[in-house]
Amino acid sequence: MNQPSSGLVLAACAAVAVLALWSTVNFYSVTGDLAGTNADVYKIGEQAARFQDLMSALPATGIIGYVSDVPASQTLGAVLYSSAQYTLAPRLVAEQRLKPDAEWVIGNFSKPLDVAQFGEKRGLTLVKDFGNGAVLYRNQAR
Amino acid sequence: MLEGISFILALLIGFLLVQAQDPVRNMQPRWAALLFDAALGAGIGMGLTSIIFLFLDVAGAASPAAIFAVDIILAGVLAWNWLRTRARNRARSVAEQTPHATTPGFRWTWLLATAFGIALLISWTRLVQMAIALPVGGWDAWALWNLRAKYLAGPRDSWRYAVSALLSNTHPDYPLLLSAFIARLWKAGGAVDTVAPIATGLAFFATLLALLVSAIALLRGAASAFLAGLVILSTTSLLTWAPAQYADIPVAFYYLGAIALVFLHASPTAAGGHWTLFWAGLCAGLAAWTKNEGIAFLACILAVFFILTLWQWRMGAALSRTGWLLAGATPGVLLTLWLKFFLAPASDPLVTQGISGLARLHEVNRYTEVAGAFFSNLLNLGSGLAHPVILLAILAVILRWQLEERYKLPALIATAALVLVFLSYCAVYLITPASVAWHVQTSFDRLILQVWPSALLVFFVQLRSVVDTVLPAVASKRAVPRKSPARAGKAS
Repeated sequence: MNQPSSGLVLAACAAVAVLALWSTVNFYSVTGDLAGTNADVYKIGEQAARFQDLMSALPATGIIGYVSDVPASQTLGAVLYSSAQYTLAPRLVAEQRLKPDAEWVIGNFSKPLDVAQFGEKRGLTLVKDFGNGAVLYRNQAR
Repeated sequence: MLEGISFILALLIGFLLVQAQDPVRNMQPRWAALLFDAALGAGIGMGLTSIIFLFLDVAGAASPAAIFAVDIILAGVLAWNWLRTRARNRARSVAEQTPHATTPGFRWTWLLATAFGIALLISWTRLVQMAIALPVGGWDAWALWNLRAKYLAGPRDSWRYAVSALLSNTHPDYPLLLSAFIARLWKAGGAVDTVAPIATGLAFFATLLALLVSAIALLRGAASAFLAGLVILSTTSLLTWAPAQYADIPVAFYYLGAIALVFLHASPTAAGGHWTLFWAGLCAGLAAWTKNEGIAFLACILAVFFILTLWQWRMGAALSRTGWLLAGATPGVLLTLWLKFFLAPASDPLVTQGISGLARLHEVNRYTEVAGAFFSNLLNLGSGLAHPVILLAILAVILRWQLEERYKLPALIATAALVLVFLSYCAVYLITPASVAWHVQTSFDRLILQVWPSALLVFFVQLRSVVDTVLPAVASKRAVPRKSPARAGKAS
């Protein structure tokens, strides 16, 4: 097979260099939103402040039960559940159905509701409503 | 501050360890050899110090004092060994220098280097901005990898939560390399912050780029290396995932490390001998300890390496070389077995479904969905005319192929291993008990990116070197294997 001419090789290299540079400039211009203040679409960074008072009421480690008005099988429920797990770690937060005997149970709610009644239906006594949908219960079964 | 020192110590330990049996000791250009050692050492350092931390954690001894004591002792011993052997290695390097060790370059290499530097600066600026804007990382970062890092960095026995069956929503049976490394930094620094996972994610991406560029510079010259660097920087989906703190970039790094070292083992100027295969095995083992997909990679590269080496050579050589590969992979293999059989027995529905999942292989629509998702994600690797596949096509059409005889077996091994790994990914989609559409939508792009840097390496090794096209005389000289006492026994 014939060797490509030097001119062709130079043209290919130049084309790759110019196109790649254009690609990175384009990448920079189209990713402005990902580098902006709205990058945290699930608001995970805000959960630490939301759960701050609740965290101080919990033991530093151990297994904590979890209840919510949104099932974890739904996207919103999964966001609420996983963000609570991440924020409250190294405590292990597990749905109450998985760990029914956990002494402390947190409620993580997406909308205002009667949190005392919500807990009673599940055998939980309201300890404190911290506002912003963050609630602490104690398990009556223990 | 302490977190940063702990990070630097991890990189230093890896670099000094690689220096003990430098796989690219005599190779040119020297900047590429140094960059390769630094990148490989950084990845190996992060992996091995992560493993050491996990053992300390499980033993209940993971305090900042213990972490620094181990690091300083390790770094001290390795530094002492490096200083002791440096003079000997330097003398040996001079003796093994070949007349054509410094390959004359392509006249315009500096221009390619400049373009690569500008592209790197632009993309890196944006990546840092993205990482700062989303310090908790993407979904898997906070819901999975960093969540488990918090357990590993927690008090007393909280490490057990990282593998608890109660984490059924976040895969408690996933390997722990990334989480344990971040936990190590947090524990050493005395606080949980967002700096450690950001720095770890970006460090793995930087080492991935450095490893690709340096490996191609060593195998095919600097001009080809900068072209590869430009192509990988035009892979915009890779750039998007780089600051997300996922384990896909680290696993891509370890795949690339293993493949690059298999090629370097065949290079006539490499002086690492069988140790090069040991490092390749270590990378493959660390891949298995990073993500489940890495287990498939480890199995594929071991099997393919043995079979094709046996086919090309004889049983003794195949057993010996695969033995070195396996010896390197041992830490990763043992840790993976420990995790999968003792710490966190499989709870993923994909595994627990048993052979019943095979019945789904009859569902034709799954094949069309997987194929459709593959092409869609391939299309989304880049944008418009600057799509990396278009750039590769331009180079392939103009430069054409020229695979040197000595790289034929490594190229076959690498291609077969990567194809098998990718087919295993597709097989998982075909039998997944979850919705195929959801499964491919949430992961296929990242799976393609895991093998993409390695695929680029294989492409550029097979592509005619830019130097060879403009300097035929150099090309003919490069094709002649160097004969030296150090390499005399390698074919056996």
